[in-house]
Amino acid sequence: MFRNSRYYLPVMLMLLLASCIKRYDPNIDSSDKFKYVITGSVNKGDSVQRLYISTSSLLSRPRIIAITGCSVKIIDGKGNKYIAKDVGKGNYEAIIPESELVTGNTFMVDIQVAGGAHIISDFDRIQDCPEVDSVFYIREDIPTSNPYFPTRGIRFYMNLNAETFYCRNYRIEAIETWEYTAPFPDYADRRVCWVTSNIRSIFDFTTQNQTANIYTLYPLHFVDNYSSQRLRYMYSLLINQYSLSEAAFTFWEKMRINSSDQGGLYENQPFQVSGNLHNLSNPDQQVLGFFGASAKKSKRIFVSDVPGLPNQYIDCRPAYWPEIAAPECLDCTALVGGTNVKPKYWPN
Amino acid sequence: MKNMIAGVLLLFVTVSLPAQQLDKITDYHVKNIPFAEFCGVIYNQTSVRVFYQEKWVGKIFVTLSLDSATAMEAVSAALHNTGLKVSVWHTNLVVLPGEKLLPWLPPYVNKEHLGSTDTAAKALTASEEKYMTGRNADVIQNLKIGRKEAQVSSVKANVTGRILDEETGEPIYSATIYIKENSTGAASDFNGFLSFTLKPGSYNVQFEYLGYEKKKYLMELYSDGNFTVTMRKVAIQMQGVVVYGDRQMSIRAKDPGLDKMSIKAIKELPTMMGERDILKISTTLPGIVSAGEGAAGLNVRGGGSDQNAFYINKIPIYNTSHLFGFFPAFNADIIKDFSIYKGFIPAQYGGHLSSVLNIKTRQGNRKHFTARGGISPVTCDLVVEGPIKKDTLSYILSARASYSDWILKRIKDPVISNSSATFNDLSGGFTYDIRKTQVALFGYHSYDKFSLSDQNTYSYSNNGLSAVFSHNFSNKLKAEFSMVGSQYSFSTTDMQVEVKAYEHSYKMEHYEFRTDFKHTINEKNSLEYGLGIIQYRLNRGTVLPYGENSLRSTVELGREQAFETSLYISDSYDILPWLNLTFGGRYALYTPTGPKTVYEYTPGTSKDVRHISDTLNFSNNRPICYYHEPDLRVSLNIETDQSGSVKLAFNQMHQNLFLLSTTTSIAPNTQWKLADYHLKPSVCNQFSVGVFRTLAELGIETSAEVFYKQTRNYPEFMDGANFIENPQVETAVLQGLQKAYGLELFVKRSYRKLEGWISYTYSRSLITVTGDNVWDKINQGDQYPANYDIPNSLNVVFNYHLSRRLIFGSIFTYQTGKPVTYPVSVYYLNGLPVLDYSKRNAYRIPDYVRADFSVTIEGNLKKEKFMHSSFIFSAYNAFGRENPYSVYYKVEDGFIRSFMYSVIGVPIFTVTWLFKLGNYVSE
Repeated sequence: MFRNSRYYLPVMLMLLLASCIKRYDPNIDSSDKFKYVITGSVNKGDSVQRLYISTSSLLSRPRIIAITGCSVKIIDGKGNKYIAKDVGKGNYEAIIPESELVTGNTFMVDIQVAGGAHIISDFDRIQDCPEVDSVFYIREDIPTSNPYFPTRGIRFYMNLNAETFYCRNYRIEAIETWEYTAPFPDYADRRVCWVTSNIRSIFDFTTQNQTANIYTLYPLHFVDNYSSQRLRYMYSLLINQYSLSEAAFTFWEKMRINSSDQGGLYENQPFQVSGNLHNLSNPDQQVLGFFGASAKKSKRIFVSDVPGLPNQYIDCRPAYWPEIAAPECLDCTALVGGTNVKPKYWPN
Repeated sequence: MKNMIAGVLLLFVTVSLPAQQLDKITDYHVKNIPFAEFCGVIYNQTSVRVFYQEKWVGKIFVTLSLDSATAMEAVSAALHNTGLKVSVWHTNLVVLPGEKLLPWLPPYVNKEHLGSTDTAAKALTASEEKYMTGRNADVIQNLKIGRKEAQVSSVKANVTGRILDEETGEPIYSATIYIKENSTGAASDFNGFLSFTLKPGSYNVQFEYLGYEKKKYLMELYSDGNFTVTMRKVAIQMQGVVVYGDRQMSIRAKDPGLDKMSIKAIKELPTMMGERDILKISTTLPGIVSAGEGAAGLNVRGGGSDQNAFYINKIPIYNTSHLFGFFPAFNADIIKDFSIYKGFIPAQYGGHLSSVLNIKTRQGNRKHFTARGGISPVTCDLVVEGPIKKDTLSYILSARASYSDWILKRIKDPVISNSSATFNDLSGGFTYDIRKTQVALFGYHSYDKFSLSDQNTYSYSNNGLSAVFSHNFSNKLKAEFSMVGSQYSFSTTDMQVEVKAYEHSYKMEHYEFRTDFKHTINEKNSLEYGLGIIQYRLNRGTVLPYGENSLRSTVELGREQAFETSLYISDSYDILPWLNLTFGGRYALYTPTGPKTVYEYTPGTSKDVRHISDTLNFSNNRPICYYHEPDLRVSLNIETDQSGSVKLAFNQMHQNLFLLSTTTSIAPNTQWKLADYHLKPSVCNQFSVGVFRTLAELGIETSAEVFYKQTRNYPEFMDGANFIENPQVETAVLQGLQKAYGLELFVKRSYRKLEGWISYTYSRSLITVTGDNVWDKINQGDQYPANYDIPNSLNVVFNYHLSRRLIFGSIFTYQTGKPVTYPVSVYYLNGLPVLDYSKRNAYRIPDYVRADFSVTIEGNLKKEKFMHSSFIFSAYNAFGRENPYSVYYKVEDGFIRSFMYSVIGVPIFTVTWLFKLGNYVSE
C-alpha cells in the first residue's frame, strides 16, 4: 500500500559496486509531523453516518492516533444540524433521517476539537448511484521469475451500468471475508474461522471521458491459490459502490495515484494531497482527509471451487507440531481479525 | 614620427631602387630647417638630387632624426603628411603633389598577396629589420595592408585578416587582434577570420591566442585589404587549467556571461572513470550546476536542464550524455572550442531560455596526417585527421566506444552480470577552404544501450549532419549558409513489473536552414543579421503493452510538427572608446501545424479528458496557431580602466520545446514536447550586471556578477503527472512563473605554476503556479523551489605544475542538497495506511561534497618523436564520501524506513592513457 518511492535510478554497471544505500532519517519539521485527519461521509443508503477523527503519526511508528471528545456537527444545505456522538476510538456517529438523504442535498462537517482546532469541511453533494451491475472474477496467472511457475489465481472485476444516471464518478470499496481452518486446533471451536478485511487499494473511476455512462471490466484485486486459505473453502467479496462529486473524485484519484506503485526506473514524484477540510483556528495547518456525501450501493458475491484452480495452500506441517507451530495452526482465532463466529450472511 | 618612418620603409619595400647613391645609407639629424636646405643635406651626403617646385615646399620645415636611412626614406619622412610624394627618377628624386612618378611599370602583384605577411617579411632587408627592432623592441614583423596607391587618408579601410595555426593550417577561433594606438581589437570567428575598420596609418598590433606565441606586428594600413597571420603553439606555455576568454577578452569582450573553456583545461583535471568531460568541468564555473552523479544535464542560472541549447558544429543535440549522464556524448579530443553563453545571448541564438552551449570541433590538420586517442577503463577513442589536399581540404574522424560489459560480467550478482551497458559515438568532418570560401560538412552519431538484467532496456541515439558554406563577399560582409539536420530517438522496454510492462519508442527530428551575415559598417559599428527556418517533427510514439501479461492498454502519444521562422539583427556600436553598446533583436514566428487533433475543454473546468468539449482536426501542414513576440537583446560594456570593466545586459528569450520530466535529472526516456495549442512558449527576461577586473601582475582575473530572471509560462508538471500514459500533455502540465536570481563570484589565476579558479554561486530558482481555480494551482499556489534549486555552490579547482611533465590537479565541490518532497507522516484513510507528503520540494537532501585528485604524467619532451603519450591517474570522490543522490522510503517489517541512495559512495581510481602522433606540443 505504501507508495514505494524507489529511485532505482542510475542503477548502473560497475557503479553498482560504488553505489550504496544506507539508513537515513531526515529531520521532519514538527508542523509536518502531526496533522488532523478527518475521514468519513454521509451516505445515502447507510442508517448510521460514521466519521473518524485522528492525527497522522510518525513514519517510524505508523498507527492511528484517535482523537476523542470532539464536538461534531454535520450540517446540511438546508441548515439542519445533526450531532455526531463520540463512540470512542476516534469514531463519531450521527443519525440523519432518510428524508434528508436525497440526491442533491449537501452536507458538511463542523468539528471543534477538544481544547483545540475548529475544523470545517466544504459542502459535498449527494449524487445518485446506480445498483452494482455485476461483480465477477476471471482466472489469471501472474508470471514470476520462473516462467514455469506463475502465480495462479483469480482477479475480480466489476461492471457499471449507469445509463440512466447523472453521476459519472465512482469509488469502490472492496471488503473480503474468507473461511479458514487451523489444522491442529486445541479446541473444536477453534478450528473454523472467518476473517474480514478491507482490500488495501483505492479503486475509483470515471466515465466522464466516455460517451456512455458504462464501465466494463473495472479491475479489482487479485487473489492467489497458495499463499493463504482464501480460495480453499469459501471466499466472499462485498462491493460498496459510492457515487462521487467532482471534488471527491479529484481527491480519491490523487490518493490513488499517490499510493500506487508505479514501477519503472524514473517514476513520478509523490505529492501532497489536500481534501476539502480547513482548520479555521490555524489556516496554515493542513487538515488531511475528505468529508463527502454520496449514495452507496452494495453487492456481495461468494466464490468457491474455482474451475481449474486447485487450492495449493500448504497447511502447517506436523513436523513442527506442537511446540513451534504458529499460533494460528492451533487456534484459528489467533489470526489477526479472525473470529470463530460465522457471519450471518455466510451460506451453510 | 613612428608612422612616418614606417611609411617610408614600406615604400622602400615596394619600389626597390636602381641607383647606387639612392641605396646609400646614412644618418639624418636636422632640426627645423627649410626643405630646400634639407635637400642640400641630402645632396651632400648621397649625391642624390631632389627636384621640386619652390611653391610646393616653401612652407615646409624639416625636423628629422633618422639613423641608417636612404635619401628616399629621408625625403619621404620629411614630406610626411604634406600631400607631397617623392618618386625616383633616374638616379634622382622628384617631389610631386599627390602622386608618384612611375619609373617603370610595377611587377604584377596579386592584391591578396600584397598583404601577406610573408611577402612583407621577406621584402625587408636585414638593416631595415634591425632598424625597426632597434626602434621598437617588440615589433618583430611588418604587416602591410592594401595598396598605397589606393590610399585615401580620409576614408577608413576595411580589413579582413585570417589567423591560422602554423603547424596544422587550421583556422584559430577566438584569437584576438589588439590595436595599441586606439585600444581596440577584434576576435576571429570560427573560420579564423577577423575584420575591422581603421583609418589608414601605422599601428602596433598584437595577436594573441591562448596557448600560442603572442605575435606583434607593425601594421601599415593603406586601404582595404586582407592579411593572413600564422601563429605557433608554445611549448613553454603552461597549458593547464585555463578557462578563458583570454586576458584581453575578459575585459573587453562584449558578452557578459560568456564563458569559454579550453579543452586543455580539462585534460589535467581529475576525471570520473577516466573520461574527460567538458560539461562536468563547466559545472565548476559560476552559475552552472549539475544535479549530481548520474544526473544528465546542466542547470544554468537557476534554469531547467531543458533550457540549455547545445550545439556541436551547429547540430542541436537533444541528449548530451552517455549512460544517464555519467559520460559526455562526444569525444573530448575533437573539441576545439567550447563556449557557454548565459548572460547576454547573441541575437543569432534563440529557442532556449537559460544558455547556449556551443561546441566547435577541430577541422583536421591541413598539413599532415596525425592521430590521437586514449584508453580509459570504460572507453577507448581514436581521432584521425589530415589533409586530402594540402592546405585546402582536410578531414577529421573520431570514434569512441565503451567496452564496459566485461566488468559487469565479472560481478557475481546475477542482476548485474546479466546487465549490459554499451555506448559509442562517431563524428567526422570535412573542411574545404579556399581563401574567401569555406565549406564544412560535419556528421555526428551517438548511441547508448543499457539493459538492467531482464527488467529494463533503454536505448537512445543522436544523429546529426550539418553543412556550412561561408563566404567573405568583401571585407565588410561575410555570410554563412547552413543546413542542419538532427534526430534524437529513444526506445524503452520496461519489464520491471510484468503487469505494467511496456515498450515505447520516441523520435524527434529537427531540420534547419539558416543564413547569417556579418557586416562591418565602420570601425565603430558592426552589424549581424540573419534568418532561419526550423522544422520540428516529433513522433511521440506508442506505448505498447509488453509481454502477454501486461495490463497496460496501448496509448498512442501522437505526432507533432511545427515550424519556427526567425529573423534577427544586432548592432555592436562603440559609442566611446570605452563604451560599447550591443543592441539587437530577434523575431521568431512559431507555428505548430497539423496533422493533429486538438481538444477543447469546457471553460471553467480543469483541462482533463473528462472535460473535453470539442475536437478540432487539423490537416497536414495546416497551422494550428501562431506564437510570435520579439526578443530584445541589449548589452552595455563599460571599460572603467585598463584592467576593469562593467557589463550590463538585458536578455529576452523564447522557448518552444520542453522536456516532459517529473524528475530532477533527464531520464533516458524523457520526451521533448513542442509548444502547441494549449502549451504556450515560455518567455524569459534576464537582467545581469557584472564587474570584471584583472590583476595582471598576479595573473589573476576576478569577476562578480548578479542576475535576475523571470520566466513566464514556465511549464511545470502537475501533481501525479504521468507522461508515459498521457497523450494530452496539457492535462498534466500547468504553466507558471519562474523566478531566478543570484550572485556569482569568480577568481582565476593563470599562467603560473599554481593555477586554477575558485567560484562561488548563490542562486535561487523559485516557481509559482497559481490560478483562479483549485486545479490551476500547484502546491496550493504557493511559491516553491524548483527541482534544481541549489542555493550555494562552491568549487575550487587547482592545478600545480611540478614540472612540464608532472602536473597535479584537484577539484573540490560543495553544493547545497537538492530540494525534495518527503513523506512526512502516516495516516489512515478508512483503515488504509497512506503517506502524507510535504509541500512540493519543501525539504532538501543532505549537502553534496566531493574532492577529486589527479596526477598527469606527460611523456618526454623530445622534439623529434613519433608519438607522445601521457598517463592520467585520477581519484574521483577521493575521500569516499557518500553523497546522497536521493532519499527514498520503503516498508520493512511493517515500518516505513528511509534510505539514502548514493550513486558513488567510494573513491574511484582510474588510469587513462592518452596518445597523439608527434611531440608534446603537436596538434
